[in-house]
Amino acid sequence: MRTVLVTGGAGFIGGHLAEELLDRGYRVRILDALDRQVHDCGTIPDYLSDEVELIAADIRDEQAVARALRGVDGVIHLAAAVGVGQSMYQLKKYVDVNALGTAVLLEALSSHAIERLVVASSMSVYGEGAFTDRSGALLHPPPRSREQLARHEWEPLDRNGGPLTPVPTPEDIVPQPSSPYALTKYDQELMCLMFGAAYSLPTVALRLFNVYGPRQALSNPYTGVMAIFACRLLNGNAPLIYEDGAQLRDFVNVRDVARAFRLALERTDVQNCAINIGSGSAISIEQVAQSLAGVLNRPDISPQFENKYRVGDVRHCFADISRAVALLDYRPRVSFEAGVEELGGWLSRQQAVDRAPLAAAELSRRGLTL
Amino acid sequence: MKILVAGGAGFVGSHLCNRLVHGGHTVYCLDNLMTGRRQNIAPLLSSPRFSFISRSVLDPCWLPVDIIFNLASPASPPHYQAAPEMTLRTNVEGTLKLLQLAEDTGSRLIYASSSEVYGDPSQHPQQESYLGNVKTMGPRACYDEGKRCAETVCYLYGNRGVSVSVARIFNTYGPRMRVDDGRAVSNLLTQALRGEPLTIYGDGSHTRSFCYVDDLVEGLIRLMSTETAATGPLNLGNPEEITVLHLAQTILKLTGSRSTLDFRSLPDDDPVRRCPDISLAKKILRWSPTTRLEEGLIRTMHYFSRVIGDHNYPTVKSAAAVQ
Repeated sequence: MRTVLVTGGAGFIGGHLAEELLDRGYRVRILDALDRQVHDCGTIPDYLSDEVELIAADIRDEQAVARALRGVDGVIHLAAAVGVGQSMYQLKKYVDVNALGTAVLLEALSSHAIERLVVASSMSVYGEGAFTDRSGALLHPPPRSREQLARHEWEPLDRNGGPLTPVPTPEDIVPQPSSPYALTKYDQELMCLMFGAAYSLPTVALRLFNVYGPRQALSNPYTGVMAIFACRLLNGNAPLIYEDGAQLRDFVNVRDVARAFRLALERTDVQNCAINIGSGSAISIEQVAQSLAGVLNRPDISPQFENKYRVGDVRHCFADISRAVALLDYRPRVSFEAGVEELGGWLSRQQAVDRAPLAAAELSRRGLTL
Repeated sequence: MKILVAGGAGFVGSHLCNRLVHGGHTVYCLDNLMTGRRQNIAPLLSSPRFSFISRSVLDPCWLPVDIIFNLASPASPPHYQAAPEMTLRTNVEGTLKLLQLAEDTGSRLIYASSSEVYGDPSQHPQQESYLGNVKTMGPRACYDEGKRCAETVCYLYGNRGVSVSVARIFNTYGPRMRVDDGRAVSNLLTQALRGEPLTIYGDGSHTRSFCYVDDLVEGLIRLMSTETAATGPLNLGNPEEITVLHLAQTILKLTGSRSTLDFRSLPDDDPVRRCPDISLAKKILRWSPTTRLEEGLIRTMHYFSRVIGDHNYPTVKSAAAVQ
């Protein structure tokens, strides 16, 4: 495999992946629409290597996708509209870019022989993560009820109202997407896997947990809690925390994610399945806010607890990465502490417009917070 | 329409991008900022119809577009002479790459050639049919021959069925031209505004013709929209010939500067006289310049007085830094 097409390759993950692939001697082509919400002012980022062949076009542009596939051996499909909150009211855009975009890619692939397809899925397809009940049985609770959330009782409970303990989420629990974004990511994943099976194209989906690292989009208020908190802190404002801050997530460094994609590209024997890519450890949202305040030298700024529920949010979800370890020999290398430290160094050189209050107001206006 | 402007952050390119965006087109500006400047396109960055791709025209790139303008090249002697190989490659290879894109996407390409293809002309004014008086060696050759060879590539693809137009652009001036580009208008304006002596090469009797940038952009837009893609080159410039001495005196008058005149010997290879015959553009495009010299100079002067006071104005990156 020599030439790899990365759709959405000018984005945060794509940029790191392009570097990883170039370092390993691949020829890299990217297809990217230069979406203004992701790339400030629709500017192609300066860090993109000159060696990368750029196709500046939309994933839904059939002519451009056909051109992008010429001479390509493998495809990594990252192009997507990203953001849970926004997907609640821009449904058409999310379905269009994510579902239709993937369909355009696959239709083009039906007449281009390639060796490997890797699609980026998301932890959001799970909805709520996995838990154990008092007896130790693994279960996957349904979304918390509006009544429960209105009482500000944040923790999911078992059928009898008993307490649950969050545990690492394995791939084989049944997905329960809780936002149009999550649904379209699940759609991408399934469509790619069924296409791969039908055309005997080795295909694998990587379910990414919370990816963070240098160059993540800072001014897009809909993606990445780490970027959103950092924007607030850089502008001297307190990070806004929904619920009580005890929500557990899995933050995985973008370089580990880039390597996971490269491994997935190369291990063509691994196919027809979804694989979690996370750090394998859980951290609370409040801890994230505190760590960031620390590395940005703003320990004086404490997070502000909104005590509100944002529609579509889950309580706890962090990765069981044993499948990635077993099948891809994937092992995360960047610890949370080291990653946040490095992120802080990068962040302190950035200027970021804080659009979080606008995004929060937009969600509230639409009744998407309780 | 979707339009790619290579060299879109430069002096002429940024004015062209501006006109196109305001005309309702979607514009992709490709520029590695070797001589182009981010400030030139800063007002456009907030437009949803404008995207900036900060790369060289030599880097591999493909976009679904309807029109391609190739203005990518350093254009003033101090800049292109500092990077002669880059200048040649940018023009010849850059044009070749964009023509391949035009062929692939079925789009039309407009190449910004130059009056420099006429070299030191023996015919006045210069018609498109004039073959030129150029040298393959000498300090200007990388630019002149780069433009000539790029034209050849254009005609080659034109014969293959790609819709191509070649504009031979004569001296152009206006806001956003580089203060350090070493040309008559920018040199004299800068010196007058700083109260320094105005350098005149020769005795001031050699002539130039200066086209205001808005007029040139209008010509390029008409060339883009014309039904009949001209098979050959088309001169775009202002046929009004003025002496450098007259230019210097006009600048002194407009700026109110008390600067003196400093006469020096002519540099090597500098054409003594250059003036376009624009009858073809008049006929095909129904175009001719309309901005009077004094009017254009006043607008340029306002820009220069603002930029000269700005200590953040960047100098041109060295060729090595760009490569």
